[in-house]
Amino acid sequence: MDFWEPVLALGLLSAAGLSDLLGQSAVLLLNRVSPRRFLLCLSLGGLLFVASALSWALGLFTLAWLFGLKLGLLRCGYLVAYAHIPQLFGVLVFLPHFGAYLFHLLRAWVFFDLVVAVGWTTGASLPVAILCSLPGWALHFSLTHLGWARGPWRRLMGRP
Amino acid sequence: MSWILQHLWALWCFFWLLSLWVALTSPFEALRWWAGWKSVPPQLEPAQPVPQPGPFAVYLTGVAGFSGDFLSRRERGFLLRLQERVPGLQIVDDVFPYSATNNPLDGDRLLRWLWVWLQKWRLRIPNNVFDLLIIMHNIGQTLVSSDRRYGPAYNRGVAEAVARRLQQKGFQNQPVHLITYSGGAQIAVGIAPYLKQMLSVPIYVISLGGVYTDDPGIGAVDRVDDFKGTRDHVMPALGWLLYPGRWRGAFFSPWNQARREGKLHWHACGPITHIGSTDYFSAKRQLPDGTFFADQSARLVASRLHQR
Repeated sequence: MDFWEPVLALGLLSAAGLSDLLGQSAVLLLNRVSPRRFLLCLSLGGLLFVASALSWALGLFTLAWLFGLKLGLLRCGYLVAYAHIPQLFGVLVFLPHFGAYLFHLLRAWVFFDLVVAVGWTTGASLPVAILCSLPGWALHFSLTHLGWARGPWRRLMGRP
Repeated sequence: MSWILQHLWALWCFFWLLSLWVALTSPFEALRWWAGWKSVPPQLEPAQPVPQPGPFAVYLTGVAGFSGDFLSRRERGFLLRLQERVPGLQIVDDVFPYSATNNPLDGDRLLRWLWVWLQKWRLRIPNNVFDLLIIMHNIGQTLVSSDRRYGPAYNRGVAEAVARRLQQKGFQNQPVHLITYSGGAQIAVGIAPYLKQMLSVPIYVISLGGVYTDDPGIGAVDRVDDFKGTRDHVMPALGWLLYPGRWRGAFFSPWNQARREGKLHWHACGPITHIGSTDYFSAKRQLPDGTFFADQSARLVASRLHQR
């Protein structure tokens, strides 16, 4: 398991990221990007998703250390990865009408998954678990929200 | 017996998986067209359309629609009754409202064979279970039209098709009446801003058992008249149920703003149901005074057309 756990965690994050981006890919089509650029955006977006999730793990580790919780960096990475399991359904965000609600539901679900996981693993109280998980979550989903994208990422995605 | 049940269960699951697939892929047609990934066949333009005095109306069918060329006999009968009552009425009835590119279900599509097969069975055995898949496809497109993400692309496509057909009929900047049935009401509201932008004329929506969502396009409609049967409960209520913008509590929603401006008008029109032999187009069932339901629907719609 020692070897497979990081592989599983990274695989899970990549699959969740791809599913999430496919769900949000309407933005790319509305921006009239070419099929090649569409695929490029999905690939780079997948990498960005994994990197951003790992930065969430780093943020969780830092905050857990500040609050005196016993949580290693690697364990933080695994918790963040496993919290993304609901995000595997992210592709369903593409559904008309219901997808818009599902988008928010999945993000909230991922957040509460991590809060429960942190509380259960460390025995931290609910407010502390929320405080440890919230900043990274907000940053992670801001970075990977195609509608809010800025800078070079926005230029790659095109404009409406 | 258990073998049959087992296979029925599998068929049921297959049907729902297929429905989910149809729903999930429903935005693709509009988005592919918008992104320029899909080529649209060139539209034939008439040599020189003869200008007509009008009035001009567009008929947008309900979610059981199959193509612009195909309308059920009942709907054709209703439109003929309407034309008898409104001299000079020009009706555009060949736009398929459940496609952003006016592409019928038997048009240039990946699953064309499936839709053609379903339509064949539908004509042989009306109201069979396979009807549902066509309805699911069209409900999917109605949801696309009402979705804030996909709606602008989709509705612009349908509006372009409507505007083109109006001009081919000899349209000369008269007001446009969008006569709709069931889910066609949402499409009418969705395309209204684009149609207004393209034609610069007042847009009126007249619906029979209309299913309305909280589409912001309602702001561009000058007046909505919805005729609803007293036995038509479920379908028109779906729009209210699924779209919080229709709820009274959503004070600032476009729908409630239009309601406060006095644009929305509801009229009861007798013991009519949404579908079946007692629907708005029935030429068999009569009101107590002997009027056929189809005649009454045509009379009510004509009365709105005469008012303008």
